[in-house]
Amino acid sequence: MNFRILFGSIIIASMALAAIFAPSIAGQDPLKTDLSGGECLKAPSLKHLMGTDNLGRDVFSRMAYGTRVSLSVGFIAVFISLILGVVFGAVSGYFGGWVDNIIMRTVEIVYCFPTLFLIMIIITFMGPSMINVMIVIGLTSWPGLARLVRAEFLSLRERDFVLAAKVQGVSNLRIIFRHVLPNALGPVFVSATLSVGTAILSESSLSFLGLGVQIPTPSWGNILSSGRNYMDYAWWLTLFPGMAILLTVLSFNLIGESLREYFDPRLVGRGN
Amino acid sequence: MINVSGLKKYYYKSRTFLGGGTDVVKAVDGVSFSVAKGETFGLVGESGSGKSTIAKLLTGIVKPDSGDINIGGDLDIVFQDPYSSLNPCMNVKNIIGESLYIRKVKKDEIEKRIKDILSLVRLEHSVLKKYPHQFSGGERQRIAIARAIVRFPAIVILDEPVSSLDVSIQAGILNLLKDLQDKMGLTYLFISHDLRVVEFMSDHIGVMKDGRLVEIAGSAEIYEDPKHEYTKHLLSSIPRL
Repeated sequence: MNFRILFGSIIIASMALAAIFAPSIAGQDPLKTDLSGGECLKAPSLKHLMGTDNLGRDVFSRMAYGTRVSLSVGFIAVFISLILGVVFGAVSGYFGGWVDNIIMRTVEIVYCFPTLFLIMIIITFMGPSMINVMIVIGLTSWPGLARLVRAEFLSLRERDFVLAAKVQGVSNLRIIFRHVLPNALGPVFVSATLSVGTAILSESSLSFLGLGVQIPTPSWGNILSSGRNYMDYAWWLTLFPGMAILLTVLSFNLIGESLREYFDPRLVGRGN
Repeated sequence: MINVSGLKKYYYKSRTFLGGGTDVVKAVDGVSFSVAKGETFGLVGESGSGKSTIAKLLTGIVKPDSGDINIGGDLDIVFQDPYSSLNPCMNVKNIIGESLYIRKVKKDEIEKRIKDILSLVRLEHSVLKKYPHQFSGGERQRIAIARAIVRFPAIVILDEPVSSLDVSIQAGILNLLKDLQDKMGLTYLFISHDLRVVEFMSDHIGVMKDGRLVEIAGSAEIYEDPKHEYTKHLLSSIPRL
């Protein structure tokens, strides 16, 4: 079996297990502070596998709960962007004409802004929270998918089996969902997998900047952020969340890249 | 059954990026013909002569610039390439049954019709759950034919139905098509670049060149007494067996 898929799947599967069973594996309350002497900023030990933070909270428990945030933001944001991207891309590619023009110009306008900057502006207005972060990441990341779906539809709508369906009087809606979309799903699935990594990274960046999940609720981004003041003598506060983000994003990218090669072998060895 | 008069379809493309002039491609340039019920009308011509555009105009996928099309019944089509004419994501049952399903035919009735049609095109009932990639080119073309005739259309357009198949399989498909025509009283518009195939299939033949029908005649006549220079040229290029 492909090494990259194996590696990625193992990492993501263990992250998913950690997220689902966070309460049982955490062992301690991630919000419980312990300011009694000597429990703050303790190095990793058997009692605290990843040490404690400046308020004496168990970092391992916080990391476990943070996995929930990262994965749910990643998947839900991509789900939102998938729905928008598929709907707009399908309409654009299948019908063409002025509808296509309007949608594609909108996509280009959204593309003009650096995504993270755009997300930060919207979050400032909507107020930072986990739900808002999911929605905003979803709302800003569909244009790439829409373009991809549009390109697939443009080539598929000229195929003979689509023409045959038209001749038989099959409705446009049914042609889109039964004939074109199933044949376009491969590349869409690949792109969605890669987007999960990007979405997780965006959530961490936002939480790091204080615009994402709000403390005391743990997220990898805000654990990392609160650890940066103690970087010189409490390495565990930045190393573990940093590694978690790195490994998760890397895993999604590895799986995405392997799937891409599976669906389109011509792309091997080429950049994006 | 089919009545076409003065049919025209031009395609325009800009010569330069800024639109400094356009090229006109006269795909179909004033074509008229008619086909009687139960008959086969063969359209023959080189690639680019406008044969397939006529097929698309008749199906309504492409709208004509001018001219009239009168069709006396349901119409369906069989394409040249059975590798792109069957949806790779659908099984045979859904491919053949779709036109009935969208017309709200009852489920057991659809099932029965599909099985009847499969016997007619000489395929096993066991193919129903299989997907297109599991079949050979000839079998795929039989599935495409089954899809086209399952709702008993009056007319079937056959757009180069054997051109992409092995010669050894072509005869089987052509005989099957003749058989189905006899059993179901179908009217065919048979399009091909191969004059021998067209002659075998057709009652009347129209010879196309650059978007025009240069000659229409009975299938035997055209062989024995071609009138137009281009028809003679086409006939002379057939290898003698």
